[in-house]
Amino acid sequence: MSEPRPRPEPPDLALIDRCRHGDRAALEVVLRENAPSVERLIGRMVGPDAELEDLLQQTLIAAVKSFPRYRGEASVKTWLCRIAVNIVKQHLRRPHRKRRVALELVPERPTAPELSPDVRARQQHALERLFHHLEAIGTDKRLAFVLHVVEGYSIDEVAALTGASSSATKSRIFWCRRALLSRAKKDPALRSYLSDEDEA
Amino acid sequence: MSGGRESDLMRLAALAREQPALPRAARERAIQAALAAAMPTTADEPAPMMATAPRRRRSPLRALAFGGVAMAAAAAIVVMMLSHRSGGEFSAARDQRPGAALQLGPANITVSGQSPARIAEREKHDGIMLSQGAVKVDLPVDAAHPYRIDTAHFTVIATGAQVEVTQNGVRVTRGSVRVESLQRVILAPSVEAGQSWSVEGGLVVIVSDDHPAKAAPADDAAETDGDTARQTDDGAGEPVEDDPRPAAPQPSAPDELASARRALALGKVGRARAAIARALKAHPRRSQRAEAETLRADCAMVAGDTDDALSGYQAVATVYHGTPAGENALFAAARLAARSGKRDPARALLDQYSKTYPEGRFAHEVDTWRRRLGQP
Repeated sequence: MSEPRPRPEPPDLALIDRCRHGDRAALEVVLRENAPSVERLIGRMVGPDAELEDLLQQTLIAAVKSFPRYRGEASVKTWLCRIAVNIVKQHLRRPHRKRRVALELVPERPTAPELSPDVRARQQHALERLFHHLEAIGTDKRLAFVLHVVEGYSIDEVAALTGASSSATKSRIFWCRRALLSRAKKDPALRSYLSDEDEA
Repeated sequence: MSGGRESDLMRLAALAREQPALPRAARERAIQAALAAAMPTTADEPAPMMATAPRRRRSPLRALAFGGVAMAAAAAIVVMMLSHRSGGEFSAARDQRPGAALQLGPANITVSGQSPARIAEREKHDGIMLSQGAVKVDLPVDAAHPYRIDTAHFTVIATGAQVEVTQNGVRVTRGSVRVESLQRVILAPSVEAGQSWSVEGGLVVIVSDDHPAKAAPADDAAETDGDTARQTDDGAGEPVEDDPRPAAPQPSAPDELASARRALALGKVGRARAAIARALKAHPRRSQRAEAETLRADCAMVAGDTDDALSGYQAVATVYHGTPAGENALFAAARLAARSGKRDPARALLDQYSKTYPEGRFAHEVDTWRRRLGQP
């Protein structure tokens, strides 16, 4: 169903301890190591959003500030992801949040350089439509879905990241899947991503 | 769930993974902002408690503009640096309603503007951190030590001055101040009474030169940068720990110059001259000497001694040739000559100005005066 997640490397306890004490060099090592994956996670949770940089920054700053309280029970990456999830949750729940597409966002490594501009534009449009539907489905369901289906976290991991119970997480993923497929079938931009098989 | 639906979901998930990455520079900005929020490398000092991260709001169009992006990143860095500072150097920040008056250390502070100001006082009572809002700060004219007003973007260092500080700039109504970045890079060596300084676009620094004759030379910055040992003679420097001065406050050159400006503004030429004399005895730096000599010419002008004023300005223009003080003095001399009916000397001085400072700050006024004077 979802991509298998690589096993985390054993933590460098000395490095973590230095981070807890606000050692900039140690923090820099940890942030540089984890920033790309945190950024990717945020990007997948919020979709094409002009505030991706802001959210990444908020997450990293929150991490730096909270490091003294990091107990080491989860890996640093998981802990950072949890902070990112909380930041994104707050962001998505903002009532007057504007849907904006970041003009500044450009792929660092084009994922499909062989695609024609036309195909890429269609893909971009489909991406925007996908996140439009996810937005309509609701923040909690959306986050659970993205973390499980897109990011490949297990149900228990998603529950831990979102602070929900496992059963609530399962339920959210189920309803999000159902609602998303239903919406995608009606959306011309997403229809090409779906099979012709009728719903059972 | 059917296999078809499962594969549909997988395709949609794959689509969701096709997110464009942030540009490297954007990621770097985020990392640097976070590192700026880190505590200094001290082994046992606890890091500050979690603070709400600042939110920057930019429109997509502004996001395209490098300046705007740079400003937002810089502001966030700076806000975080201030947050970091609040961990030890400052008391807890408190919101003060508009119009509230506070006495913090030597400073009489009034919250200006329509929104509350968030103020934390330095533990040494020698400054405040203004992380939100605007304040008017009135310092005693005989203050011996500089007072620091940290904002999210810059630091204002004032001695015996009266200023209004917002998050975007400072307006000086009495005395003079220095503006530094939070990394202590001098942004404006001297902003004086009648002048204001502001940040626009994060990169552009504007000195609104309402009083051009009092502008400080640009070489001030270089002098100060190289003079880290003792900067208290700048009118905005910081006291050093091993300051050997006696406990009783002893006016410094910038204090005396500020006093001279105030006296001159009130038309008290004698008092101004006395203050200038004291300033010149107080081992002024080059920029302060230039200012003192310009003020002396100002005194002569206010006293009605045009010839003395003219020669004074010309002397400053010659001695401080190529500096802002020299530029100011040369224009002041040309204008004074023109106003006092000395047409030929005025033309010569205007020509000299145009030749020396073709892109100078008074180029437009010089052209206007030249037209007004007509051809010889």
